[in-house]
Amino acid sequence: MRRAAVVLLVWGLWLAVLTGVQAVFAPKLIQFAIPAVASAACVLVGLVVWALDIRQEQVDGPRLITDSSVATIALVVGVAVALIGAGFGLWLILIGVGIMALGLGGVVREQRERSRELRREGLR
Amino acid sequence: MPNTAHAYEHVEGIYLPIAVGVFVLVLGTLLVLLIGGARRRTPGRRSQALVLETAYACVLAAVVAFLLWVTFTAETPIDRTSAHPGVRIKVIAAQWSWRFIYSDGVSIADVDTWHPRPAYVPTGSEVEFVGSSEDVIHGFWVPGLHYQRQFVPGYTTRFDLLFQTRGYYGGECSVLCGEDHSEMHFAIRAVSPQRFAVWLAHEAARQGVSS
Amino acid sequence: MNAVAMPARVASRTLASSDHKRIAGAACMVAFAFFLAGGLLALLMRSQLAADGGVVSQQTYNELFTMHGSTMVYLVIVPVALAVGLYFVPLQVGAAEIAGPRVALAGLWMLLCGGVSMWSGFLTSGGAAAASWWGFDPLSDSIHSPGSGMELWIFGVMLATLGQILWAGCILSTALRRRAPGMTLMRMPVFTWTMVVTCVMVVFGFPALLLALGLLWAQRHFGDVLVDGAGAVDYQALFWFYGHPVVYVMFFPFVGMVGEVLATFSSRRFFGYSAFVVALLAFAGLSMTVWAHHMYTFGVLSNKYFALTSTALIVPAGIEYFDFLATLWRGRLRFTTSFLFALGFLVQFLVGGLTGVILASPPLDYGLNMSYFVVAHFHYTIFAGSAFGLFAGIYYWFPKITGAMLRERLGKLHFVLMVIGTNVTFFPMFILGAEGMTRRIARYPASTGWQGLNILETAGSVVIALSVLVFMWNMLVSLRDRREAGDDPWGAQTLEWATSSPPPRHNFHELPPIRSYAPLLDLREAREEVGV
Repeated sequence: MRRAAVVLLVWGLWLAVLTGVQAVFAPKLIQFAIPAVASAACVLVGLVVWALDIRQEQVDGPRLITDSSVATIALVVGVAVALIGAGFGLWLILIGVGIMALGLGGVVREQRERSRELRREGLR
Repeated sequence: MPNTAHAYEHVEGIYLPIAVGVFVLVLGTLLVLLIGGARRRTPGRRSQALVLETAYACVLAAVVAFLLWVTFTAETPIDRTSAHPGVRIKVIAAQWSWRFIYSDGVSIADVDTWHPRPAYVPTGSEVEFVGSSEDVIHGFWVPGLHYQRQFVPGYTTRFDLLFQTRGYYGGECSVLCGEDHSEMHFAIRAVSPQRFAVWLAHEAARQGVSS
Repeated sequence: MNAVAMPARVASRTLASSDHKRIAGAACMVAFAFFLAGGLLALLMRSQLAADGGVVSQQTYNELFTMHGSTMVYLVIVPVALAVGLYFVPLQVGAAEIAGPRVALAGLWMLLCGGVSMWSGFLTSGGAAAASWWGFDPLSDSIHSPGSGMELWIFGVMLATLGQILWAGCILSTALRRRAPGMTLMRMPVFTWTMVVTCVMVVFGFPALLLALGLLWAQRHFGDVLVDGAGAVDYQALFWFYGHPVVYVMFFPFVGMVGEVLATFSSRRFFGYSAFVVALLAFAGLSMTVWAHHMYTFGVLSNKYFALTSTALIVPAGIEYFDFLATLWRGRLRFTTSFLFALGFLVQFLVGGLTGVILASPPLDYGLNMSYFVVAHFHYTIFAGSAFGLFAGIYYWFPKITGAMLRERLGKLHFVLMVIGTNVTFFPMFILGAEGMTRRIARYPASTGWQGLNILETAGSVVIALSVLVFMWNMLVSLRDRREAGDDPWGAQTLEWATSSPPPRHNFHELPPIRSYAPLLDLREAREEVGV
């Protein structure tokens, strides 16, 4: 995983170098700031990945695969309705938030069931 | 003198042949490989050539440097504006027509923008345009001189155009600006400096303005 | 590798499934529906231009090209590019499933909700959004684009884009954390590498669009956010920081497909793998720094810097083309439909790429910007180019996804019609642009003499429509009257061909040894040496 971090770090630095070249051409602030932020973000993510040293997920035994999730759909539709509601009125936002809450509750329920199933199958 | 038409034709004269040449080269190589491969029985095993590819990358970088040199040398003069232009014309764009205002107050504006009254300019010296917009972004494009600039509301856009030959130059709004975007044409007529002076005086008298 | 699947409690498995294969399949179907809708808009536009006005009103025409461009970018090509990665990256790296399956499902529904939102604009009294697919300020503000069509567009694009960012996260995480034992980074297949690079651009480039749209929405509702002058520049600076990487997101995955197809049907491994990976990474980084070449004619930003980075793209692009051609070198070639589409990509994308180099030069762009020359350029890269790469991938991977082979004769007819259609439609646009025809106009003066070429282009678009119908017919026939494909009908090289067609829920029963980026080819070559 450290090698993946290196890819991100090198790429972020490449972006930073290209941004730096702008200095020769009297850049305006906006054209400099945007790629500077993006390259900083990339280097930061690379550093985080390096520091966490997240190992590859090596699975030796069986693993559990979720099959479906209607709750996820409810969550997304709720977000969509709430977002569109921002242009049409508070009533729509509230409906969207309501659907989101249902969805979120469903996702939590699915997670609990998943843990139960894992324990039952002796995978934990 | 910044000559946008000349800059375009000069750069195009180098870029276009190179582009066509590269296309023909790649197509030719492809055809040779396809004809060869169609008859082959056993495929080759070699799958790396790092030295060759590095050398090739260096050649490409040299081509890039050459193209940039051509572009930069052609661009620098036309990005500049002259300190002493021959004529200065304010151009105001608004949904959906153009207004040309000369220094002495003469103004040319036309509602019928498909056959607009032309604004006159003299040949042989820079004409400085000072452009602005009253509402949304409009594009001032003179295809005959291969040049355009976007008029952004809140900014004043200054540029010089040189009309070498006399004649009629059509102009269009090149940036989407709403419902009648297709209707927003303008026209420029380039005449000899003497004829221009006569026209300007005549227009000033007709419109009742004085310098 | 065994797995326990939890029973599904809902009737509809397809749209609620967290199986990356089903999600990707559903996404492709949604995107294809939007492709047909966007294509219909294009046919309407072409009728208007051939008839030189009179088919629709000016305002409606503005809505047509806005929704055509928006649909093709936000709802078709980007989603399909990511969806193919969603399907095949886990398979190519030997993973049992995608990382974050419910996040991937969320992405699918964001695409659906986003698309519905955008298209709902047509149902409002003010019509759909009409400020182009860029939605640029001040044309898109509340004074110049009042009405809910623009609001629905803004939210629709935000949702679709957010979904795409989520997908990119899933794919990246899978490639970085779920690779099978033995698959180092430098043994990932060519297509997977193009997807990794694509997803990095999505993650670090797409948020700029969300920010631009957020600012636009705030400007519409509160004002004084995008202040005159600087505001308009800032919006487009942010938009194009997304807007250039997005066209590479619409390019790299198809480059990867073409790479796999060329290698398979040349019966040899991809040439120059390491150089290709380095070129990809350099290319993607550069592509994040070229974006203001869309703003040369503002005369406000540093044109020369962006000319430098834009022209420098020639270097990695040239390396990639070298590797494509070298893969064909001394190959034993098999001219399947998939292979033909890959060749079509090579030739036609090049036209788009070379005209891109022309537009990268400010003195030339000053003369050609916003004209039909640009329209031709990007249709050659995205449609005559990337879409051909997509069809190469479709004809290649359809047997793996469905277990049935597509008909070769119909496929070749599809190919020929599409070559004719794309070139007849888009090549004359270079000429019209050079003659001074602006883009986004609903009509033009008869005295220009442009009608002849416009009629020709419209004829070409009808041929394109025919080719799409042939393709749809091919899919129908091939699924109804199945010719079973088996695990590996092509004699291919990468891991997705080491499992059944279609793959089981958990992708693999067992994996072959992984010693390079072409594990199945290694196995075949080892057997040949032993004389099996």
